[in-house]
Amino acid sequence: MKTKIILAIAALGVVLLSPGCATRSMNTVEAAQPEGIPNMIADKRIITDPSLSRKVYVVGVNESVTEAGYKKIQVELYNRTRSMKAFTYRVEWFDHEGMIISSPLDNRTPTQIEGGQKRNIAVLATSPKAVDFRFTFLESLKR
Amino acid sequence: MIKSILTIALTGTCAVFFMTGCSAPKTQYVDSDSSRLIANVDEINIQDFARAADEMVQSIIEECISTGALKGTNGEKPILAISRIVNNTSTQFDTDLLVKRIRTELLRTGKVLTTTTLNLDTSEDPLALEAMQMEEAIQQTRLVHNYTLSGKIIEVTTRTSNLRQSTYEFQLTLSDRRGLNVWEEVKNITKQGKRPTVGF
Repeated sequence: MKTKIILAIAALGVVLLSPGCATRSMNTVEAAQPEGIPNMIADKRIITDPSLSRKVYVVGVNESVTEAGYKKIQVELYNRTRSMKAFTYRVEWFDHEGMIISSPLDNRTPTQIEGGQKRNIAVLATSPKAVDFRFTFLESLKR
Repeated sequence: MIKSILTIALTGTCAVFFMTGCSAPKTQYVDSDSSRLIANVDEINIQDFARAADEMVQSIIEECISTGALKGTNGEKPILAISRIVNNTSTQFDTDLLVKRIRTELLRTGKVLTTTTLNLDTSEDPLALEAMQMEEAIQQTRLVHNYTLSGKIIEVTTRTSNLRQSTYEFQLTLSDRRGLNVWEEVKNITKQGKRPTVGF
C-alpha cells in the first residue's frame, strides 16, 4: 500500500515537473544534394566536459583559403539533445613555427545552440601568417 | 590527555583553515578574453567591443583586403582615415575602444596604412601632424587618405516585468574619396538579464 502511494506521488511529481523542464527542438530542411563541397579536414579532439560535447557536438571542420592567403575555418556543430545550450567559443591561431598569433581582438564569443539545431561557426584568420588553429568550447556560466 | 591533544589539534587545524580563508585575495586579475569578465545589460562591456571589432575586421579582410578591392594612390598602399563614429547609446564611452582595435588589426595585415594625422577633429599625434605639414611644404605635395571609416553605435532596449534586453548595433562604413561606400557592415550584440552578472 505504502509503495503504491510513493509510486503515485512520484508519477504526479513527474507530470508536474515536466512542463517546467519543457524542451523544444529545431526542425531543419536543406538541399538533399548540396552543390558546395566542403574541404573537410581531420581534427583532434580533447573532451574534458562530456555533457557539453553532447550538446555542442562537433560534426566536422572544413577550411578554405582566401585569394590573399587568409585561412578560414568552419566548424559544424550539432546539438544532439532537445534543450538549448549556451556556450562560448574562442579560436587561437598559430603560425608556421607553432607560435600563437596574439591579437587585440582576442575574445571568447558567447553564443547558443537550440535543441536539435545544426549550426556552423565560420572564422577568418586576421593574419595571413595563420596556418593552424585551435577551437575551444566552454559552457556558459550559470546566472 | 589524548582528548586534550585531539582538541588542540582540531582547533589548530580549524584555525589554519580559517586563516587561509581570510587571507584569500579580494581582488584578482582576469584575462581580458576570459569568460569570467563582468557582463551587464545596461552597457557595452569591454568584451563586447572586442567581439564587435573582431567581426568587423573579419568582414573587412574577407570583402576588401583579401580581394584587393582597396587601392592606394599610384600603386601605393591605401591610406585609411578614421571619420566620425557616433555613440547613440545611453552610456558614455570612448569610441576608440572599438576603432583602435579595428585600426590596429587592419594595420597588422600590412595591406593598409592608417594615420594619426588625418583625423576629423584634432590630430591624434600633434608632433606627427607638424612633421607632415613640414614635409608637405618641402615636397609641395599633399598627403590624402584614400578611404574613411565612419559609423554609429545604436542601443535598443526592451524590458518586461522581470527581464531586460539591450541590443547594441554596430554600424560601420568604409567610403572612398568619391563618397561611395566600398564596404558596410552591421553587427548586433544582444544581452538579456536582471542584474549585473559575472561571465557570459
